[in-house]
Amino acid sequence: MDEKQKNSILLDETEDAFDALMRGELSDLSELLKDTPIGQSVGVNVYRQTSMSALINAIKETFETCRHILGDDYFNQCATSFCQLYPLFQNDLNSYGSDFPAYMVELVETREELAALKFLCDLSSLEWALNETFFAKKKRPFDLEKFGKLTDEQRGKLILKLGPDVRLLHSHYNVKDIYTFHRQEENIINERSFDVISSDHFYVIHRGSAETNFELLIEQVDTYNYSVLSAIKNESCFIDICENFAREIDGDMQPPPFGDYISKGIISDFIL
Amino acid sequence: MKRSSLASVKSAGLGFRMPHFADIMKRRDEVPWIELLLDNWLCEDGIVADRLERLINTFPVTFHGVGLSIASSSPVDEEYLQQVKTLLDKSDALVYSEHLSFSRTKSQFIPDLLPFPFTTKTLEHIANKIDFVQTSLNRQMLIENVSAYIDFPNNDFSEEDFITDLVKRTGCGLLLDVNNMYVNQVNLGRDAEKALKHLPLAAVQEVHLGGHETSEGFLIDAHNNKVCPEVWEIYQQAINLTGPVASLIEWDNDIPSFEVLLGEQQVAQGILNAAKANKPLVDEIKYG
Repeated sequence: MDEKQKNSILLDETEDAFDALMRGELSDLSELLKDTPIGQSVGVNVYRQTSMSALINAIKETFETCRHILGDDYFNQCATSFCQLYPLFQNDLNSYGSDFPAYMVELVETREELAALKFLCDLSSLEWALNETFFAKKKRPFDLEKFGKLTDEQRGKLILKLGPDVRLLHSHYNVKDIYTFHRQEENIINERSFDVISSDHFYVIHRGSAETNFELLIEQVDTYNYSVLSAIKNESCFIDICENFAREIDGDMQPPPFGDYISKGIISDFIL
Repeated sequence: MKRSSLASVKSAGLGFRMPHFADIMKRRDEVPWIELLLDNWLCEDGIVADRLERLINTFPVTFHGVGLSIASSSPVDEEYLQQVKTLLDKSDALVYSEHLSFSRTKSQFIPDLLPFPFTTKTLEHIANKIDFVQTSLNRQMLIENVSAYIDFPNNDFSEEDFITDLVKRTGCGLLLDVNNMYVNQVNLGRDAEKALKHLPLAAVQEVHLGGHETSEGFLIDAHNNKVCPEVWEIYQQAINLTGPVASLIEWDNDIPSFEVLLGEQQVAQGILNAAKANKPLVDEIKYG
């Protein structure tokens, strides 16, 4: 590189070079760099490794149970290829990994050695939901007084809102049990075995009712409650939900148990 | 414009990390101030905001950012800057500091502090961005010298001359990271002692101290160790030249017990106390 070329190197060229380096499209930045005591390639490698480690560590922390099942080496391989394919778009490592469950689906479908671990797709979805629930905004207490004062006309237009921490998950496996089993150290030490059950399971992931409660709850619900909560999530009208999900209990037609959802903090607000 | 208000602190603080939350609340009297990694506290609500409220009600805080990417070719992200302003204002932050590096490219964020060529053009570009940030925030910011593992052939300035010009042009303050100076001395052959004498030391309002990792003849600024004797020596030289300055222990990886962290803080405090008393600094201070 001659003197004129050297002087023309600008910030955007430096950025482009690092961009390509992180994507694995470039392994050598010698055209841009001068010799140093540690050597150009060693220096470039430090950046590649430290940046990749930061991303991989974020994935490891969020998908701890998947990592536990797959083992460190295999999980690291998967996480590395994921991090190369999915760069960080927001400057927030806590929100990095939303595509990992979809990536798991792809892996499980294409890798023979994972054929018996299909539940990993749903387990990774559960772990991502837990991450989102943990960092979600605080919920305000449901305003029962305001709700009680609504006119019939207003109730006709009412839309209930799930808490900002609430996530719904339909799994084809008993992923809550799998998650809980693998989070208990003594099960691993004593090499206890565990049955994976392949059938529909419905979960509500949330932080409970207290405003400052950051305990994560995974609540298994039946098809009926899952359908009602899905309708609320999809912003169906309150009146429609009452009509569509009314069911007979002790000879009377009853609406869904909105009071229970409110007391658990699953429903936290409404809009008109 | 609001000047940084750390100048009066002149004591040794701690970089706060979440695993120490319970310890630091219990032993609050031993910690004069804390530094928070700004980008971890930008949520306005939820667990992060809850913890933040407890911390800012207990300690004087400084905020240290990694997401501004002041040396990117692109303009400052104004949405991000607004979030920073909201956080600094609500926390009554003593200081806002950032790194003299970039982490954002046109297509991704790279979770690292990347170096760039010290040219006349980059100086002008970064000075304009610092002006914009300080005006938008209505406060002075501090710029930190970073550790590096590569160097560019087309530098018009040494790092210290580049920083001196930035400070002169923008009125920003300087956060002097003495571990980074030592890492660059070993990795890039720069001279830490010489650099110290050329930097605009009157602008230094905070000093960072951290540990590094040694790897086959070079150093990685991993913040995962105690401060090494060579770095304590550079720190002493710096404090001899600047007088007592707010100093911070950074430890981000392989986080030790709170006790170990406090031990490091006390070594820094000892050096600051000696400087305050205007005593000659002893040669054999026992380093952690």
